[in-house]
Amino acid sequence: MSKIPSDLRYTRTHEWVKVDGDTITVGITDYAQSELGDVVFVELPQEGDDFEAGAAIATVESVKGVSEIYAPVDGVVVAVNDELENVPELINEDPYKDGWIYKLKVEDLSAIDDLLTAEEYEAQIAKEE
Amino acid sequence: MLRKTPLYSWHVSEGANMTEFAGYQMPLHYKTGIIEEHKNVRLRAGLFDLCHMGQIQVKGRQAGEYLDYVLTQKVSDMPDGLVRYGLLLDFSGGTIDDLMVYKRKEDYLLVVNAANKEIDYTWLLEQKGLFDVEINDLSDSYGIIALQGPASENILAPLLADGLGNLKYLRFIETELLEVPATVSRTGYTGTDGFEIYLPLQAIPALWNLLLEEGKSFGLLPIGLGARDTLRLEMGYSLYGHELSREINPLEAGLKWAIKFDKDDFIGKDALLKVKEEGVKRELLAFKTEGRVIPRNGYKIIADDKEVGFVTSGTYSPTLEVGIALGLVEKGLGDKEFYLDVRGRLKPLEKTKLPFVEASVKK
Repeated sequence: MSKIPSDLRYTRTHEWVKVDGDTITVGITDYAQSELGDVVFVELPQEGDDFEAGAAIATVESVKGVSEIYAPVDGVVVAVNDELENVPELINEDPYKDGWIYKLKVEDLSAIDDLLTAEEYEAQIAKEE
Repeated sequence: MLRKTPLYSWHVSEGANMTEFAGYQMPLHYKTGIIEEHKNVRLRAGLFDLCHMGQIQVKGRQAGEYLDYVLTQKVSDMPDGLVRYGLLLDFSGGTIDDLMVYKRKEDYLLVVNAANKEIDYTWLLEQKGLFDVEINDLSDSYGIIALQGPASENILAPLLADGLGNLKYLRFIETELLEVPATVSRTGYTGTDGFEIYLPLQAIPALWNLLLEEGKSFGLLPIGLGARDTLRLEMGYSLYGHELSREINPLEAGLKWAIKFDKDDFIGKDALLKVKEEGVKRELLAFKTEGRVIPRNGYKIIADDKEVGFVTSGTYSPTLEVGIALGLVEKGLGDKEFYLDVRGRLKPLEKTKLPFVEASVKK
């Protein structure tokens, strides 16, 4: 069973979102990393780039294939996890902490409310499995 | 309804990530992951469930002549105990399948790709004509386990009453394992030393467990289809549906060595002679990428701002830690600079020689 921390929010495309004031941290879920398998490259966005909700913001490549990582809400990139350039496997080893991918500064925090809760996300992956 | 091998429940109980392949539910990788599984085969040993593959038996007075006619390879001069790689072509020179031929004492065994086994069997029956042969599909009665990697011999030899003797690459013995008749060949699709073991299907789970037990102290691990693919691509071996198909002729795929034009006649010979005469239009090239680029099947290959071909197989090489690819490209571009179209961005490709990684089979 994959881990789904209850204090995070989730997307239908398997990103997790941690809210901290007006900034969110985004990564991919434990379920997503186990489906992808060994991650070998991560293509990160630039700080200062702005994205609309649903836009492809980063790319994760595993041996199996390529996956786009989407922006969960509108925002501006304020930090990226440079560590992933050298140690992409952090996404497999610690998807919710050291494997975080980027941070977005969010204008409209109410958009966060539309994201899935842990229970809702769990129900979604139960359907996919 | 997806089919299952006799090892299906074992794979699931080990937490394998299962995938659909050729109508079967197969392990893509286990909890170890593709990269570690790959490295384990190169350094120690790995065990593969190949029970999805097809096995077609050809026997009878004219079995050799018949196979000389339906296959590109010369078969009738094979001594007992030899394995050869060959191709099954249609009359227009397209490839129906690629396969291994085993010359056993009583019959020939054709080991074919899982996705093509029904097609091959039907085709072989259609071409039988007046040949005095008997053709049987043994796919649902026999299974295959591959044991690959440098430690394979030390794991397997003690399990055989007479050991492995001086068995060389592309040779096999007919012996007994677990008190049932077994065919054991020094073959595989990984480029390392190793064996493929053919056994009645009902004996497969017992052999699997026995090998895992015996192999434990040698670091033997079960290996999924993911690493099977990265291992074969590091060798530049063709995979049907990628480098070979009805639309790609074997001369384009660089398999001239497996086509014996000096045979009287074989299906597809005239078509291929015509291709040769008119000139082969495409060729299979090997490429490496730089930096963070992994070529994927179907990506376009560009030279002089024009699309000149596509990636037939591409992946990340766990040994070299770069992207590697085989690409079918217009012939005669020689030393042009090639680029890969990665989601709209052009990345340089470095043309290289095969194999990507040196093989270590026991010649």
